[in-house]
Amino acid sequence: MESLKCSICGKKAAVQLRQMVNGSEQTIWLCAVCARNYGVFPQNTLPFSVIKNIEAALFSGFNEKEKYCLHCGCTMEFFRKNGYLGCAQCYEDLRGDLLPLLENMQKFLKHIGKSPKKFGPIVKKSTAKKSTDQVSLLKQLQKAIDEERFEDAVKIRDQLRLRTKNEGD
Amino acid sequence: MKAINSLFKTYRKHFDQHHQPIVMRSQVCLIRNFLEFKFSDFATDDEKRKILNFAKICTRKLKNFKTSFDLTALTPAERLALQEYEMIGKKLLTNHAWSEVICGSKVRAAVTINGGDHLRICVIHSGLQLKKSLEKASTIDDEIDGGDYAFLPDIGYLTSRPCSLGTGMRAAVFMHLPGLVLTEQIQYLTNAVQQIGIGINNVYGDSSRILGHVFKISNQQTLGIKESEEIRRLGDVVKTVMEQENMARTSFLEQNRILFRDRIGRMYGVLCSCYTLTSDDALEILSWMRFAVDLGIFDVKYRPGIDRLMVEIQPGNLALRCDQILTEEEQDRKRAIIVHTFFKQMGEPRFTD
Ligand SMILES: [Zn+2]
Ligand SMILES: [Zn+2]
Repeated sequence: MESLKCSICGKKAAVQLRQMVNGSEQTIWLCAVCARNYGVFPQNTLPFSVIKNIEAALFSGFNEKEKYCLHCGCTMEFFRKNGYLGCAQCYEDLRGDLLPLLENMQKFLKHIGKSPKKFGPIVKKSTAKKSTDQVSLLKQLQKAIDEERFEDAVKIRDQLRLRTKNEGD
Repeated sequence: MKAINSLFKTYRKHFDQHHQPIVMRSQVCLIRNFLEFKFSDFATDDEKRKILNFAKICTRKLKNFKTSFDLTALTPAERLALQEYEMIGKKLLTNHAWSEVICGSKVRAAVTINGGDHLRICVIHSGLQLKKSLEKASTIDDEIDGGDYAFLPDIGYLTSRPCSLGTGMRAAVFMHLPGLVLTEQIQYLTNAVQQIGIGINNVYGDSSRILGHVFKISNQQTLGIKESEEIRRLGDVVKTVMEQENMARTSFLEQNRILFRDRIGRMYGVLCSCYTLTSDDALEILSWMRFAVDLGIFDVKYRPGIDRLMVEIQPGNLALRCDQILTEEEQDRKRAIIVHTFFKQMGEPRFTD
């Protein structure tokens, strides 16, 4: 899965789209930037007009000005339109635009509630805070999930659980 | 018996516990996501399939959560009935690809997979029991937690909707407020409550029409406040609303003594002898009956039955009970039969003066 390239620009693909063409399913891969530029988000089917746009894009450039999530391609525009975000990484990549929107509703913008109890903070980007062991376990976990070895995934999860528990002690 | 029917049979018993005037039930939901996947609403069907398979394994160790339903495999009536029991959100009635709900066999609790977010842990208790609901939800949360939740120390649990960012907690109390509605103070109260960052919505009817006098009072703050503190704040608001409601009831009854009694008597007659009963009328009349129970006009032991009927007379539950899709006319007829049985056994209203 990792090696797939964007059908438009050839960068690493982030979004997969499927479209029925003459009764057979065709897969189109797009990188985060291209997906964003063509208003395409994983909704499974691709309207014909979007395909036309993609074809057109093969022959023209695209703008990279708007901020977007590097992992899923979600933008503030998408969020404003749909009311939801794409992934955990959005909170890192769109943070500057996102958090001010919450100011009215929230007391102050700091989490002081519960934390994942036994394990401490884990987020992809902040690898510095994690031990190399933990990082490698998380990588293994992601790999197992990508390959749909869910039973293995859960075993890795249990290791992660044990590991972080010991650190906390 | 079908799994879903026996589940509802257990849930029906829950109404008997901790029933009280004004407060109907407390609900606490915790929203959680796994780090490895995009949020469910954003994910493709194939990703959702993976999320589901993964989440199922992560939740299989949960104690007393043995019944699960693949929402796509359920009939529309069964989905609707689950929604009427507040086990799933409304959105899952139509958009339920690769979604499942795992239901508690002892507590009225559910873990929904792929309903917007990866996990929604939801616990409901009768009466004002926010603390107990939070504790239970939090225990389930800890059991599932495998060290791979999407979480940032400074902004908390990451949710698909930023309005839940932080604690990821949505807590609510369902309140029966006929006094405030009848004395036309509800709008004033709504504004006051909203001003301190607590949400209030009518549960039945729509934005222009209040039905059944049932309101959902819910928390809005998820950042800058601890779960327990927000629950306490919500509980305090609920207690204030209870006081207001009691005052409103007193003033309504002072001014409408005869009218109130007459209305209860007439409505009781309708419940015992109507041939058909629409859902709107049923909710409205049941609300008046609950009000009457609070005043001792009917025996207090019938209160849980009225609360239960408020769920059972809804379309999904009716269809499930009859094991078939009913036309609107058939529903109205069936509804009438159900309320007859209950209210005849309850006996006529006792007006002491
Ligand atoms: Zn591209
Ligand atoms: Zn993202």
